[in-house]
Amino acid sequence: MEKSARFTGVTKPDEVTRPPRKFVRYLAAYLFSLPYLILMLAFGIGPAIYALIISFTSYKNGRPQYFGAGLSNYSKAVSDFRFGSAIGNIAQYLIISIPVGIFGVISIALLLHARQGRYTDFLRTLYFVPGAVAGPTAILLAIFMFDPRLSPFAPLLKAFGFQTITDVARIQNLPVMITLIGFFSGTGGWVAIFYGALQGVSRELLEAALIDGCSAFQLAIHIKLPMIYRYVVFMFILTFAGHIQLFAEPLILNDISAGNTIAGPTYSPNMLSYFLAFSEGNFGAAAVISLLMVLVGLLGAFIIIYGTKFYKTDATVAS
Amino acid sequence: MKLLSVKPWRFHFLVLVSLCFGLVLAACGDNTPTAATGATTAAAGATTAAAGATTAAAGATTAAAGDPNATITVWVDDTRKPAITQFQQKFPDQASKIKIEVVGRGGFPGKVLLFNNTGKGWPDVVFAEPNLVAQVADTAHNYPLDLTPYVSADIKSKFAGLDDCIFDGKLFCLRNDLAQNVLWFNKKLMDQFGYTVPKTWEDYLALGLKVAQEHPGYVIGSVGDNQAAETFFGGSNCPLQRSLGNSQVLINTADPNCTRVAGMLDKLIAAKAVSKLGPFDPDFAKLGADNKILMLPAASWYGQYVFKATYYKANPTDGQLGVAEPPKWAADSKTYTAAHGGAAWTVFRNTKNPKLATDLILWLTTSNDYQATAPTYPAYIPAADAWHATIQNDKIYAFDPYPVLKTSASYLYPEWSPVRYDGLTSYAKIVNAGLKDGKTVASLMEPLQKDLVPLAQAQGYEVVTKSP
Repeated sequence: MEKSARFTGVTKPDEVTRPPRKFVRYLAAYLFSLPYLILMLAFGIGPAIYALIISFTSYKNGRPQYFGAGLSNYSKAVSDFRFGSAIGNIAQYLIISIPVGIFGVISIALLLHARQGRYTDFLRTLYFVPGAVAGPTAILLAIFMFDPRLSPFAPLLKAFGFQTITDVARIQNLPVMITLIGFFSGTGGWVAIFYGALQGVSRELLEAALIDGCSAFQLAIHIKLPMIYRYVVFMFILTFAGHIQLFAEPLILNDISAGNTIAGPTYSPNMLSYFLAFSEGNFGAAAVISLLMVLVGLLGAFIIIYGTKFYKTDATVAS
Repeated sequence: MKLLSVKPWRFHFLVLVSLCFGLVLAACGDNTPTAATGATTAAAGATTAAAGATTAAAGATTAAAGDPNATITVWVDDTRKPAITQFQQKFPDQASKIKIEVVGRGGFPGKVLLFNNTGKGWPDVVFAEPNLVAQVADTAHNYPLDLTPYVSADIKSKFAGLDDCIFDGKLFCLRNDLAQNVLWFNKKLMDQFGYTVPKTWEDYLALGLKVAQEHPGYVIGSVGDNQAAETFFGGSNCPLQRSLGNSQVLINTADPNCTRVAGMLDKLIAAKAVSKLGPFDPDFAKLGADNKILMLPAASWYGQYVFKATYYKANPTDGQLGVAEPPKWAADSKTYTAAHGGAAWTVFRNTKNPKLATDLILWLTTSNDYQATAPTYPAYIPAADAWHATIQNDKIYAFDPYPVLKTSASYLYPEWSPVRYDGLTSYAKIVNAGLKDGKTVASLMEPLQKDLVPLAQAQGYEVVTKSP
């Protein structure tokens, strides 16, 4: 409040103070965002521009001919015989993993917030613990969890008719398996974020609702959830952008079979891109698929941001 | 508020745009010299190639050009690292010129593409399977050196399985070891049940059905992973991957040589004489520990590394493991066998020290100093004869397995050839997965064909279904 009063204040003569203040203010802002900008340029925008150049490049005897390919890499990538199934697989995975992830995280966060206390704090930490296991390690651990011979969930797996790990690890089960892996390693972090968001909901409002006869369930659905919906949108954007890049999970799960064939080498678009580049030597088509993933991620984010007035609400709330 | 909300945006936008622009410029700036260097290197490469061509034309004896003092980088796995160290000890004057790097060779073809891109970094000598050599032999990778001028006809003739190293008439590698398929069997059980070891696949089928009747629970093979493609289909001269030069491949799963295998396997699978488990599945290992494996067609290294190290480890049973030549189809004039594994040494086309690189791989593959005690069956026949001592007196065998292994190595045939695409993964994806869904091998032959053909085409092969 104080800040905005200072900025819009009309009492101080603008022409005297503004030029140096503006410069200093912006300099500070840029200094603060510089590390991020440098990293984003080096590892985000830079590689994307390089991929754009490579996507028009052809190779002769292993040497790049820049802009020598025209659009042929684009037609090659899209008409590749594995492209359709990779898109189909990722769509299947997104349809399962995103709703499960968001619904699960919201439910856990709301449940935790409904009954606060030491027990809840303990649970919150407990949910967070699996997140400490880094990506590939979590997948290796998951392989043991999915093995009916070793898993603590063996009775459940056997109830589904699975006797060995090779019964479980089938290509048709992969979307669910990868969703579970992602859920258990990622939920804790998101629950902490959502819980934090819920702590920000004003106490007066919650108390008023309770006095009006709101049940805990109604409180959660009609009061708390609308107050944190921007976080839901935020989670949607990040999980969409993250999940569409599916790569490590199918790759490591492949190792369950001696023939590396649970998911196959071209299960997701990213795997196809990797395979095209490093197994078939087609860097151009690989770059096209990477760019396509960037495009889909950006498009998804834009639709969600502008469809939900994400930033507008943010600014209104902040001021 | 208005002033602040409009102008800074434009300001931020301009800053970001100029940053991006700067980055592109920087990237281009970086690119130009690289491209130039690349061109120079390419030119240099061309010169070397030209020089190579001239030398080759001048005569095979003077093939070794380059700098005899240049350092070479050797890519090996952990198992073969001691071989290089041994060479260094044997030839101390060369020791400092060899740099050993232990790598996972699966990434070898991909790395070569990256090195081609950057114009530097190639290893000089690589330990890799012939199918990896096939991958780096295409025009995109353009990696291996034609070893023809460096290896005498006499030495070449003493190699078994060298066909896998010959691509369009060029010798791109020297075989290190062989993994020829043989028929492992449990001699004690066979004697006890009164069975004789089958000499033909027809006998193998008949015996399998008999075992299922008389001794249910005992198995005579496994179709659970992609090794089955090599043991059964490769053992029948089935054209799953018959390379017809660098640009053509014959794939025809409907060939009678393939359908006869599918028919046999379906009967044996239905009778449960052949297991749907893979040989490395823990449940299959349990069959081994329970002494339920009556026969197992598999690679030559199974004796030491699977039967001894896994199946018979828990209950050591001396003197029961026998080995027989792979069965032959009655209608065929000869026995065919494929391999599961077995690697080779390949050299970089533009290595600075071709003399040392080729001397090294010749020593590695042919010298008894290393091969006589090597971990796996040597491809060089005189070395294999010396290697014989390592298994001759092993108590696990019912009899000396070496003569059978040696004869079986001679059944490796050039029509089962390394190709640039991964046909085995395709086999596992279609056939192994299909079997688990309860389908028959015969019904999966057509889907396998459909999966293999575009895979081969993506690698630039023209696919034909008949021998030209």
